[in-house]
Amino acid sequence: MARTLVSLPLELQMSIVEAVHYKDLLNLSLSCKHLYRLAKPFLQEHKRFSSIGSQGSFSFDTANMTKNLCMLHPPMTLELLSYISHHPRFRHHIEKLDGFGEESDLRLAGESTAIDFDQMSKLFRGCCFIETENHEAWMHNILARQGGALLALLLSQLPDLKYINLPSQTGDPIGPYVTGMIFKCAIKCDSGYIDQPLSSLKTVSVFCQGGYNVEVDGFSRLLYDAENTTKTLMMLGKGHAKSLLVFFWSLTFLPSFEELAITNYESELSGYEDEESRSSDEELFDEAMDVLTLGHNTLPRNYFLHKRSSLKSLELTTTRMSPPCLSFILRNSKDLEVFRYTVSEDANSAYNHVQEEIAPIISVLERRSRGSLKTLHLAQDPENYYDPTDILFPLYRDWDLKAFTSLIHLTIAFELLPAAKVETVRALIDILPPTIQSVDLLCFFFDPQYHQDMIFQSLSSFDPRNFPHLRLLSVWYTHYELRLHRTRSHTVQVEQHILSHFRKCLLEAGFGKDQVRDTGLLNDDFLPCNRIKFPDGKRTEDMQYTSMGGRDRCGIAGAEMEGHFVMGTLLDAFNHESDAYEYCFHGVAVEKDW
Amino acid sequence: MATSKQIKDPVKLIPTIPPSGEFDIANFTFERKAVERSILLKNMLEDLGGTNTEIPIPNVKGDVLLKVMDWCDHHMNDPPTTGDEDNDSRRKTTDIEEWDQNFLQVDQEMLFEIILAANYLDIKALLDIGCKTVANMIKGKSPEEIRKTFNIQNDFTPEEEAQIRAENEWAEE
Repeated sequence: MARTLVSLPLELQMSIVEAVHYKDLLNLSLSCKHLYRLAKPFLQEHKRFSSIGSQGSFSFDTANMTKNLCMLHPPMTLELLSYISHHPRFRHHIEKLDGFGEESDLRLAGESTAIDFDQMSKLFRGCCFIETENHEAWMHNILARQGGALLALLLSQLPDLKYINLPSQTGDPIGPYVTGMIFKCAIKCDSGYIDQPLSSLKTVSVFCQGGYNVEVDGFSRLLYDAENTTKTLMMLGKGHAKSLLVFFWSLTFLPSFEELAITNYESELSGYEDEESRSSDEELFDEAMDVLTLGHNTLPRNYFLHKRSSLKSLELTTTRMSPPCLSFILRNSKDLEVFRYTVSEDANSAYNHVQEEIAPIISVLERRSRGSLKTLHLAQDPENYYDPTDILFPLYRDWDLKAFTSLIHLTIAFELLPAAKVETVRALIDILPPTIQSVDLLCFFFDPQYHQDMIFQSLSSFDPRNFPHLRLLSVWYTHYELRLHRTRSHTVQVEQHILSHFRKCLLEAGFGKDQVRDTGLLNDDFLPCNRIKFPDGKRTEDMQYTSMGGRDRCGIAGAEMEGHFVMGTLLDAFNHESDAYEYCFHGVAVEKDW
Repeated sequence: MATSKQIKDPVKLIPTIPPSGEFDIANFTFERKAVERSILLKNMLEDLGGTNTEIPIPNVKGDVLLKVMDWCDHHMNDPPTTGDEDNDSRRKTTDIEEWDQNFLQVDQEMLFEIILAANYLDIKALLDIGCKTVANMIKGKSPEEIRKTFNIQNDFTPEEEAQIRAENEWAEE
């Protein structure tokens, strides 16, 4: 008789059902009564696990600060580990780790127990990345809260983890342990192992709280006072920045990793100041190895220098990453599709100018990702905004986007356009690649009227016929600034002004007066995102990244809808019927016959 | 195959159910280290003392035994399993390396035979990856697809099915 699943001895059937992922248990149960009976206890167990945490999301702490500070933070990581050691199948339920969670989800579940030496050893033995001879060192560092050993142990237990939201404090929260663990996992995945810890990890977002060159938070100030010297803080900050960079870098080797978001980070590896002496990847590799305190020969050098970065989306918010470092993270990247960069004026530096940061970054992207980049977002941090009229443009650094053969969506703050002086902003039109489909120009000025000539100068000689794929060009004034001028008369004034500028653009491009018509005040209903038709016939994924200014909510106007090309802007407008401000689209359209 | 190499410390396994086709007992001589991946055979060898190196294997078909020993041969230098590890340590082997994945790319009947043999011979690591491989065959499949894959008869009424679904709403995405 042929062997089948249900003709195996019962204990072996149980072993198989036990190995089934909890997400498949229900379907297995539904295949026949016999298997339902076998799967039922596991279904019930997983049901209980699912009620813990919030939808697979769990709090953790890096538990890496000095001991007295640790009192402020409940040892959630320990609780999580303890729970896992008692309930090994629970680990599959952990999909997200959130370092910003305050309460321990497990404590609320009322089931946590203290973790002891035996359980810790059990976890070590269950982790193929921790060699027996290193157990003692791990234990020591976990107890001493050093080197990220505790977080590394947690990560090593989680094969289904997809997201990490990581707060990073001054000090050493990542350390060699976490990064080393990531590298080991990456190598294992690469040599064909499946279902490894971290093999599902897709998204990491890191928020640097305090640290070098960032306003001193409570914790760093404490250190500062204790040591009574700025130098200590600086040193800590530097090592910290390096170890974080190596952490970012290590992530790009994981097989499912796609999205990295970094906030408030400043890279400290060499090569930022002097463009001539830019560090090569090799030099950075050596520096990285030093941070890991591994010998240079521990990791296969060629593998790490040449393996492609898996990044698809990189988001840098008020983060300064030197071009060599950025280049290092994007090495051999053929997949980067989304790059979002939000700069902020550095209050501490008289020399620095945000505009200057753009050109080197564009040049790195051009080298690494010109064939794959679809969405580029260059904006300014609205919380830390500078007014371009206050700034002398010290250096003119030219750049454009024509080399990007896949770029379809650009969001750019007006002040970040290449410019020699405020008065001679290089036209937006001059930098666009012919593949572009949609452009959002952000103009968050305090005095919209004053700057409007400049905005429309950047649109001068615009002829939509030169960009056959362009569906929409919109100009944005955020609600952030508009809030300051929320009077109906003002809004109307802006809107009239804009309409006349747009009309002028199209007339200058050679359209007849009778061809250009106002689209008027359209309401939200008229502009749902999903009505946009892109040439490939589907709403592209990257549209979800266009959250700036509430575009997601309001949608954008597609020329396809009525066979027109539309250019316009979304503005708050007062609706007398609902007695509230609403977003409305203001723009002009011409029939699209090209 | 295991026999292509020079064997330093040979152990002969005699399957009582010979493999189909031509049967060459020379093919059933293996390195002692590989044979010792099986806790059952390891204990037997210890009990028999150093001289006797012929062991009859009653419950495993010849070709399945060859396949299993192929695995043991590949893994003979893995760190040994002590046998008295607590049950939880079994959970660690959720990962299957590439060689093993290819090794287990066999028809279902052979896969189940390997699982049975691994269980009988007490080769924990092989049993684990065998079960995991079956679990992976279930991954992402609908109940109907699972039935088709494993030749299972549906004995649920639509009402019973609906009830189980209702009871387990949490598990549906």
